[in-house]
Amino acid sequence: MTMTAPQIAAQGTGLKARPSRFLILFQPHNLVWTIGGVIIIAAGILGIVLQLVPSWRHLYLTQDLTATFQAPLSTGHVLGTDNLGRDLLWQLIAGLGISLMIGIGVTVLSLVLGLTVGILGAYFGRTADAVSNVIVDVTWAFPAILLAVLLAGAIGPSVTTVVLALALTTWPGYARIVRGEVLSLRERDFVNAARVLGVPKLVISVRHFVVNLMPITIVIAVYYVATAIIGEAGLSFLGLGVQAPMPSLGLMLSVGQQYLNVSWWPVVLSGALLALVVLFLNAFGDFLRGRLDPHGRVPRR
Amino acid sequence: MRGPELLVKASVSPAAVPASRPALALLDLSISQRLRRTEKRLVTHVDLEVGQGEIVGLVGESGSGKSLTALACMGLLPSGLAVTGGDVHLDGASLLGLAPKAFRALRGNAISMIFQDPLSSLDPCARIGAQIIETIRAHKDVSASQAKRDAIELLDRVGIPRAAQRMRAYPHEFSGGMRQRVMIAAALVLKPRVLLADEPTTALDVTTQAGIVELVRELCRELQMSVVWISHDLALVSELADRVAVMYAGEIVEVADSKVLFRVSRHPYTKGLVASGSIRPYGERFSYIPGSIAEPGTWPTGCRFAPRCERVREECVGEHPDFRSGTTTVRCVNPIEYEAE
Amino acid sequence: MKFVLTRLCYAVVIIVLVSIVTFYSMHASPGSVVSSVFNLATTPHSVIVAYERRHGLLDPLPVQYWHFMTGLLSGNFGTSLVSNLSVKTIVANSAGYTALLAGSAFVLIFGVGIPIGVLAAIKRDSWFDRGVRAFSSIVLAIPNFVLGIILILVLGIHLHVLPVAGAGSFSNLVLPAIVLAAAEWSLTVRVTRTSFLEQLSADFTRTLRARGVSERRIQWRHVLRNSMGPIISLGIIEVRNLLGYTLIVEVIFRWPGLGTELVQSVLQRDYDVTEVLSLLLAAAVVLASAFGDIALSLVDPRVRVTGEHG
Repeated sequence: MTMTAPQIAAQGTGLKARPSRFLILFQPHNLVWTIGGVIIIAAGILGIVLQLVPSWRHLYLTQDLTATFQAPLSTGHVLGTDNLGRDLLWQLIAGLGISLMIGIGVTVLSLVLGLTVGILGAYFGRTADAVSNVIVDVTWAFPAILLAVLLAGAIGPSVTTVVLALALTTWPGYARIVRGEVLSLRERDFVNAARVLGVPKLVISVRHFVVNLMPITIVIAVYYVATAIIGEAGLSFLGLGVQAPMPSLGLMLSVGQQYLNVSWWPVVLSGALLALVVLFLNAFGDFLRGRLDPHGRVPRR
Repeated sequence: MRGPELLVKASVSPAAVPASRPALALLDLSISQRLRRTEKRLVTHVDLEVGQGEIVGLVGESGSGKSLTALACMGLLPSGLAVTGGDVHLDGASLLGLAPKAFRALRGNAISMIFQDPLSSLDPCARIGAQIIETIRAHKDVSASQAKRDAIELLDRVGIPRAAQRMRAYPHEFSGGMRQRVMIAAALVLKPRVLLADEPTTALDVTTQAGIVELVRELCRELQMSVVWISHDLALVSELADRVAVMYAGEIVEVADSKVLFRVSRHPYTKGLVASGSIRPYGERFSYIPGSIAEPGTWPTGCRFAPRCERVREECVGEHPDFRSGTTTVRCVNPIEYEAE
Repeated sequence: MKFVLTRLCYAVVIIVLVSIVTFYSMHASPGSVVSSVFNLATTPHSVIVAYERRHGLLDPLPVQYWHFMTGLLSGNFGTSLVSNLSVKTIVANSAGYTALLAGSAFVLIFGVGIPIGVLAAIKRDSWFDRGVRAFSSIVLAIPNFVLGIILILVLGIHLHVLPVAGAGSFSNLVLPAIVLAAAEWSLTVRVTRTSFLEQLSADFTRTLRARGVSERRIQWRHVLRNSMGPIISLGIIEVRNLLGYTLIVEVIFRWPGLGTELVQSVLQRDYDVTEVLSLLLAAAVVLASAFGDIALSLVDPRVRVTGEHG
């Protein structure tokens, strides 16, 4: 049986998603993860909404200097209060919202950058490849925190700084994977067929490379969100990221550390939430990886 | 375990035993994979004796259990597989009953093995000299310089040019044939009594193959060493070996003198192997055996070849056939008979 | 040879780029060192301008960069505008502490991580292996600054076992070194385990067994060496991260190293200090990668030929 070029070309497109496979999320041994994930995601969405609706911000911003350092489960604050008497539960939810927003922003930015440079390098000639290789290698060798610290120092600490600094240091890893994948994809029949048919390179890039890279990209994206959330917390912890009064898990840790002798729960709660979110995202990434990346092209976390 | 062994022995005809005293004897050897509740039989009741200085070919399709048989003799079955019956004797002494440490002392020393792919079978990160010296020092308490001299001598003997310099080379710096020579050197450096060769020429091209075959033949004669040569290439084996045993689906189906077997194969399976391996005039169709070897665990209770056999009869599917003697020893109820020449 | 040259070019490019990025990002930014030196609300404008002129802060940026780089190459590292200490003194005072901290973490990551990974692989699916795997995935999920604060809370403040800040004695070193090493240690254990298991089932181990080589020798000599490739490749990235994380860990534990100085200088816009310290850090990373590449080629002879792994 022989296929015509358009038939072969059509082969490569499209995700073969099998939704039934995701039913295992609801099997008993995965249920804890699923429920935990739903709670985290719900809290995160609530946190994002808090940022978008100014009139709700009082929930986590209202100070009560007569009721500072309240322990959890006392005085109507479920998780207690911080050094300014603000409600810790709402602080955590709002902080998680910011973390997720920054995490998603960083991920989108570095994926777009990595995809562009990776495809350029692998499919648009030797010069492009050489140049992109140098850029990727040089950025790769740069300690992420150092670049972030410098950038934060340069443009002043803010959410934008954090997103830029983290995106600029995470994209080379993805660009390398993209380049490797495109190098093997471009030799495949459906790409050759499309090229023979006179499809422009740009269209091939989008229709075949980007589409075929989607499964591993989704997996990487989940890992990247986790990495970026840690990065954001770290920068904010150093005072180079999110600035008060904007809520941030890193900021809570940093402030909490100063009052560690007085009350430990702000630090433990924000630290635990951070760790749980990262643990969940990594587990979710591993889960997706098992489904979307059967050949193990994405390095494991 | 003694009982069935004697029984099977009794059914083996004179053609199936070596002329000289056996150096290696497989006695009713069975290998199974342990599953959760049951076990899957992979090799069943293999009897084979290899005389001193004799070369025995073990032939069969992939999946027939010939490599597993050899690994069992070395005590190197992959995890999950185990010998479930029978024994292997080296010079009349049981191997499989040995403690792991005592068995290890014999491996590479009294009984050795070479493998199919010489690139992946040598440690890519160790110099070849070191790999040979390591074998010597694992068994003998000799000085490093003496071990080195022995290694160079043997490398020279297996045909590595400038052996002394090449001691410092790494496996990837050699060609396939040279690598196989290195592996042979490392396996034979302690002059073992028995060499098990698991398709050592399959990964090589034909001209290189001939060189390796010739080398093993010479070394076998020099060292008075017994060789079990495993291959799927019946033509190659019948040229090299004194006797040939054909395996199908985990058991030996025919044993004979190699000259005899090639000419008058009585088992339909052997006949098919001979036919598919021979060179035919231009235009004549290649002959092949239809169907494929039965997976372990799905073997029929009767003759395991019956589903593919063109000479199949009613009694073939009922009872498992036993050995019959004749010009060859064959496990078939309806063997091909030849007119006396 | 070509491989070495390429690496060398990269090293130079990286260091020059770091210097440019650092310099411009520090100088082009709003806010200035003068705000750290003077109270802007009370100091007369003329004083500030005079100060800026004296320190060459009014020159065009390329000129300032040129002065900085030529000074650097002739051994003049500049002076802190905030503390008036020469940058050389600052480096001399703090570099030893950072080297000690990073070195200890390095030993923990590889000296302890690799043997544990190997043991987990050898005792695959045993309780030890399961314990190590569970422990490493938990540690991996806890960001190092969170781990640092939690350890301070538990061991320092509640149990009073270990000092939580400062430097000087061995007990001061324990917590920061553990915190700095934790995440990368987990990664090393995991990669060692995976890589070791992969090599343990490689064909050549069967050949070695067939020649009667002892299992212990096969594992610790042949298999370990063959599994070093991925470990070192990861190690290069880990050392890069490690050096970056010294910034955070030093701040948490008030460890008087380069990281603390660097973060402080960034916040105060103490130009010369930031620039020299970032360059030092970048040079350390570049050097570490170079050593990693050399180690890679020493371990796997095939790398020497192709210049690439695998």
